[in-house]
Amino acid sequence: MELNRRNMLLQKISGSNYLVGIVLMLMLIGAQIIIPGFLGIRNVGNILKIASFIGIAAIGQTLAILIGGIDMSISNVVTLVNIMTAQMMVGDNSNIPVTLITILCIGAVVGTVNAFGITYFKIPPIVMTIGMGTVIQGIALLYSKGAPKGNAAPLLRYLVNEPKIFGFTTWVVIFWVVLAIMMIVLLKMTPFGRRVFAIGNNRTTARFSGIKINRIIFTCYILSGIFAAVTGVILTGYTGTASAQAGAQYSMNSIVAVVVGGTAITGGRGGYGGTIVGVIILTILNNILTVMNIPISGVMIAQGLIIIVMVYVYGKEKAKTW
Amino acid sequence: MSKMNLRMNSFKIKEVMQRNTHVVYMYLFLLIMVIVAGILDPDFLSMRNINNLILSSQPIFIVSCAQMIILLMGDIDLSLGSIIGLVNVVFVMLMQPEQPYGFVVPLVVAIAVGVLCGLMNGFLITKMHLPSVIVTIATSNIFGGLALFACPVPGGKVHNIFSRFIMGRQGFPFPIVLMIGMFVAIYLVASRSTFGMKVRAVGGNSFAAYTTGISIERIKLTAYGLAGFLASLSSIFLTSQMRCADATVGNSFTVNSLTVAVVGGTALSGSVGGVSGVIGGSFIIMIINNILNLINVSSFYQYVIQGLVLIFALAISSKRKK
Repeated sequence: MELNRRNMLLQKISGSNYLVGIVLMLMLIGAQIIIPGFLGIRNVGNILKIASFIGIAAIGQTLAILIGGIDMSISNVVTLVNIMTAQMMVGDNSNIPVTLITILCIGAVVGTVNAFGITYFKIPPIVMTIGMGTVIQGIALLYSKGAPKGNAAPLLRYLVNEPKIFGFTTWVVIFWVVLAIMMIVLLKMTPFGRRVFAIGNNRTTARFSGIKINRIIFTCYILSGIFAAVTGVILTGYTGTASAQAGAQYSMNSIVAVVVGGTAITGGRGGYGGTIVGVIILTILNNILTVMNIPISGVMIAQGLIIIVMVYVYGKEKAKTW
Repeated sequence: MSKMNLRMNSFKIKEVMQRNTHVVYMYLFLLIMVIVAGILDPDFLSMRNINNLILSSQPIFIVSCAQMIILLMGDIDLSLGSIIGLVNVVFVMLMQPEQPYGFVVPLVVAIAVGVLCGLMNGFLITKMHLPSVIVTIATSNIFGGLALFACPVPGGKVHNIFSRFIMGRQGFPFPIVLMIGMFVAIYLVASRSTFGMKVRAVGGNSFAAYTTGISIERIKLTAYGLAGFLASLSSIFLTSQMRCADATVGNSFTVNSLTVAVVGGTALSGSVGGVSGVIGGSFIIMIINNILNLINVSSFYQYVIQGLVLIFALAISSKRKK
């Protein structure tokens, strides 16, 4: 391959394996076979819209996994934000600014607490985020008093649901594309991104080379909390109301997307480009399973199996010998 | 390995207390909880209430023993709750309530299912070299999906005499016998057997353990199989309490088993911990729930309290290690 700037740019952006692309191709072909008309422009727009929800939540998950951690509180933050957004907006556009600022702060606070426990108390991320997630779950139930109510503001619903851009997609997808580009640039072309990969690869070496580990970990988890909150707002716009089960699948789905996208579960390898492909693959898979009338139990089993297969396939070269 | 003298520690009171300061403080905390509960409800220390306490803390105690063994090894098992749900479903579905011995075959099959689930975890972690966190998250989904598939809505009947016996209502005080028996058995296995020593060795420094000839693969496989076995026992007991099948019954047990194990002094990094702490931890968790009910606090606060207890216990545990 010629070592010119275009190729180097492409290499940097793709980062992870070409295997993901092959899986995506297979998924698209399979989907078209099972669901005729799948690749029609209107359905593609719809798929992209659904994918954007997981896609934005997966931004945070990608960051958390890249630095060697994980974020299991995403589900609960999405649910809490969904409940709070509906209750604070009550179908009125004028409530939007206050609501947005509040939930962004909540996402940031959750991320800060997570990072605090992980850095200062050296609590393993898995347990810290599970514990924090449980607390958030309780807060969500207390806030809604068990009965979520309220509606999303009409402007929000319009931005999420109306297919007006290029005739087939909505503003949410554009929003996701912009965030995606920013993420890819951030991770692959800035010092911050390089430090994230360094920490994920070998934390000790990263510390000895002068990187301020704690600051970067804090940033990653705070971003994860914020993006989970953003997902909650968008989800509220999509469904229009609140539900105690709103965010239930998001932790699991984001992990699957990140893992399928080629990011190593131990951190240090991969990137958001792969996650995007993983998100689309997961969305198509969920779509196919829904059309085939496979119940939620089948989806759960499928996701579990996919995680195991993908982590094994991607991690084979790094297998330990004992 | 030659038969080493495993009784290397003295049993002098002062030295025991010095070695296990965390557990001592925890039992002090338990005493305070009991006093608070006794003040709030004068009947708290009655035989009937103590019997109820034993009944309600039995399932979490057994499954936390399973989690403790896995934690001693330096790993984690996030699928225990799903194993409980799956075993519960299998047990009830195969049950023939009318026949006098209609519980024997379901019992054997249910326990076998639990062990198989544990062995599957162990296989994926050892033979396929996958990290325990992501494996048990994935298998949690798989087992949970299987349980939901087999039993989409709660229902079913259990064998009357059998469940009465398990609950101690058939003349023989089975619950207290089981608790004492389990305590002794887990103590012998985790703290006074070669297997327990090897498990703690792997948890302390797996490479060092490998160089002394311990077969890491065999130990991990056995430990996860044992954890699956204990989870199935916990599920059988829970089924006799609930008297029906519910695929989601185990969902809270995963996080709770971690909380109880950590509160009981088991370190997440491995090698530190014992059943004397776990039993105290399970009582603490149950009594906290009891107290919350007594002061008429909304049950939604339980989530918040559980999450906070987990985070605080982890914070204290990590500060203690320094």
